[in-house]
Amino acid sequence: MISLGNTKQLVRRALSHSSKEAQVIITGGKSQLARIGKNEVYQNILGKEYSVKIQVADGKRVGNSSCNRFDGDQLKETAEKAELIASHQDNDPSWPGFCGSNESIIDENFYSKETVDACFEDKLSKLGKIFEDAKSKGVEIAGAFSHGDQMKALGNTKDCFHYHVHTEASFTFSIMTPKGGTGWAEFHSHKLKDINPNRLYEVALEKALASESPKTISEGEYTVILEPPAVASLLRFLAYLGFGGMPFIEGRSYFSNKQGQKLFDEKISITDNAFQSESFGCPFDMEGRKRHCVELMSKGVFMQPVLDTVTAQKLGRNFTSTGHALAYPSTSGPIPLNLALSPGESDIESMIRETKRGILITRFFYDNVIDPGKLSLTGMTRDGTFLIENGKVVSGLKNLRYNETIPQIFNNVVSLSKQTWSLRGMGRNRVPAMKVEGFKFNGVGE
Amino acid sequence: MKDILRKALEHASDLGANYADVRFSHLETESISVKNGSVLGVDCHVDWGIGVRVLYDGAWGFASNPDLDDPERMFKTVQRAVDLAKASAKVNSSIVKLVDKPKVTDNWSSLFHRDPFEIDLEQKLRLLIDCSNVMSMVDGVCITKGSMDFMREKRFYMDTEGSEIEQKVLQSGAGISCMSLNGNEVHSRSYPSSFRGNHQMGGYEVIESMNLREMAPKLATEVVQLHRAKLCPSEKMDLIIGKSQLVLQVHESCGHAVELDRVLGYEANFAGTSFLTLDKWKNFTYGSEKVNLYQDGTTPEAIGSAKYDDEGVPCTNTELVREGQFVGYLKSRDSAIFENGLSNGAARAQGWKNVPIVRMTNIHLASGDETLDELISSTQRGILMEDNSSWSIDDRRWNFQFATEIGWMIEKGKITDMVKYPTYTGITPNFWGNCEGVANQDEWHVWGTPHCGKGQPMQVMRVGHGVSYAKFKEVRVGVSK
Repeated sequence: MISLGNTKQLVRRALSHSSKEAQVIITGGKSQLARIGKNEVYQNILGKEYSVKIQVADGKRVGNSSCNRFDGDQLKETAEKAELIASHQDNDPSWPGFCGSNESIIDENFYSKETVDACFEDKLSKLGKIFEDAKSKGVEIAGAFSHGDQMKALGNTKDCFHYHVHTEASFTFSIMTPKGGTGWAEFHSHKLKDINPNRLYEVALEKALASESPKTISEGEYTVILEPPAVASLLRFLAYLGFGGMPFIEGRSYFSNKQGQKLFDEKISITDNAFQSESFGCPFDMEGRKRHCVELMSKGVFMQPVLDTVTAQKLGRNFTSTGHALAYPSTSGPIPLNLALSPGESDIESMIRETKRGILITRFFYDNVIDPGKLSLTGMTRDGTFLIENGKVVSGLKNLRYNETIPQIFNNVVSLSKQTWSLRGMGRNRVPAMKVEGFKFNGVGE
Repeated sequence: MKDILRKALEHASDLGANYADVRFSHLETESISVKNGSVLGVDCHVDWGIGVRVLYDGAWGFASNPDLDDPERMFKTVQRAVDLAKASAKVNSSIVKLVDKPKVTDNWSSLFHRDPFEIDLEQKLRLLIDCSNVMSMVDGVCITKGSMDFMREKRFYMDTEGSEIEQKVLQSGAGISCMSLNGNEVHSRSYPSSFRGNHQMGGYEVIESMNLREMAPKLATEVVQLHRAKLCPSEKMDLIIGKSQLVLQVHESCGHAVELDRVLGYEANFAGTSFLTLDKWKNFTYGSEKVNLYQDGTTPEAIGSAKYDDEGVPCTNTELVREGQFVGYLKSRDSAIFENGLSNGAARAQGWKNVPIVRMTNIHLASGDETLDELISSTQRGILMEDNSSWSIDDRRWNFQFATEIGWMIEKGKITDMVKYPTYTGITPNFWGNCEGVANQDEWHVWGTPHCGKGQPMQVMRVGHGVSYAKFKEVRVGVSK
């Protein structure tokens, strides 16, 4: 990472090259990634990259330019380019101006130096025994083991300065067996030492073996138990199609004109909370405003979208920015990056035990939106799809194609797990497992 | 620059690397977005740096570095790549082998007439704002958008086998779109294709040839008409697809399926594998005899083109599916050994900070013999779909589902009613096996998909596809209800 002191200097240097009002955003970090395939490390990558974006505002005319180098000449060229772009623009009546701030936000709470500096030889040595075990069992492992740090810093000519760094370690594990079984496990933390590759291997292997010789099930509606990665996939679409202020204002969101209405089952409560455990959320947005925890859905009732300054102004006097601006110019508008779906009282084992006939789904793959206004989606199951009969997992199933709407899914929720998991979404989401009735499938994989 | 790269290679050899290559990339982009007649943003970006890839004891290591001015940093980057390879070698049991390639010293540039970076910004903005205003004049149009994207990249490649290659590419793209809302019913129309338009190798002449202003009124009229259109029927019928939709069909169900690294299992954790397993090579009916798919990494106007890939292998024209029979994969030097032992120039990396992996260059569906009119007139009951709006395919590239912005019913050989929310689904070899015809060269056009994602960290690659129109029988349409 670039230290706090160096970042402040860099911001000052970048701002000094502009004769107008200006803002600087620095992003980037360092990462190590080992990719695994066929029980071997086949890519082992080390990279470090930072980008500096300079925004110049000449009145209400705004220009942006960015580069990946911080030497004086390049910063000067980037600032001049931003000024040139601004000079060619018409006034942007919605331009809110740069944010002034008396309170600088400095966040280094989720930074683990050991996670960044970990020796790759030590890290990989843990995998050697796993590879040997996989070979002896005749299964194939694929995976990705990464760790590194990320930073965001923002400073402007109105004396606003914020700085956020965090570390992140991640392990995703797929296992394939010769009899068509597949399994998946993943874990993410800001500390590399929290990751236990052996435990993840066991989880993925158990799934892979249990899903061998998968059966075909006919299309139709089924009770499903969605494990956390599958739930996280659904939330990702809510983030940019539903809860963003821009589609809400423009009438494109399912939630447009439905503030205060009960739209989902009362078990569904969703907040955007950058401050929740292991979310690594940035405490400020790309306008420099403090990010707020926002209650988006309370007991099935839609409360409000997330907002930046522009969308808040458009909504009227009763609304202020919730601190969710992306970097200007943003084609999508503000987006929640740290959604949290409230837990229930159940657990995956109980959900299975209480299911007469249903399907256990590890995760979805290649989901995509069909009709954004109705929040209708399609996608495939992947890496462990199981048939449940009379309260027990009885066999693996071939992957299935679903066609569903999020309102339908969230109105048919039977139960949620008490435990929640932090998983990747648009940013990072915290989700429980979820049991849903009447989930529609219309196709089968190979 | 070349001296720095040569020193990096020498240092890798001194450290005991069996093989090393270095790539320098200098990228410049300009991205313009207009919304509802106003400038949403103009963004310019410049980045450059060096990536070093080494083989040590038969294992790969890769490190990258943006700081070219500091020789010590460069040596440290090389050292790290070697250290990573050493660490991998300790846990790996097999050895990476590279198939042979020619030693090359060359210099190549893509062709263009008008440098888009020299065109006045106001001229570009004016065109997009004009289009936006024209679309907004149609009652019922709520949101209009326009975009232009330009990129130029200079690359140096060198390896310890003696190749030294310099390449320059310049690409341009643009698109316009409009949206209409009625309650929760949302429709979009885009031109020349959805998701920021079409992209080609070339300069501003690419934009001028699109006739964006002339097409704007038609788009706006259609998007409003969609609200009154019938819902896509839910049944099995003949399907004709073209333009950007056929591009996505080729891209997802053929292009990714023939990537040899997926087939071998190296992408199993992320992008997935492929149903086109090694036993199917030259032994599998992928489609009907009307189906001829090939990679051409040299198509002049296609954005996946270069003279050499990122392993210094000449880009080629390679058959993938010949008259329906599966005959070839996309290959890199380390994967080709599992097929016929020759790379076909399909190893590509995004920029300097990523490692080359097997990627599509340009994957084309060869034109057929029939006219588009003949494809339509031979259809008793069917549907014509254009302009992709949604795509999904499983991790083995077997089961897919697509949606398009617009469709038209075909009854007794004639196009009749417009239909909304068109969708279709299929199983890849069954679908292509039911291909009844491909339109001729008059309809064949090269499209650019600049957002193809694969690999970890995600590498976004620019890929070209040449297609015309194709007709498929007994396709399940209207599947999302």
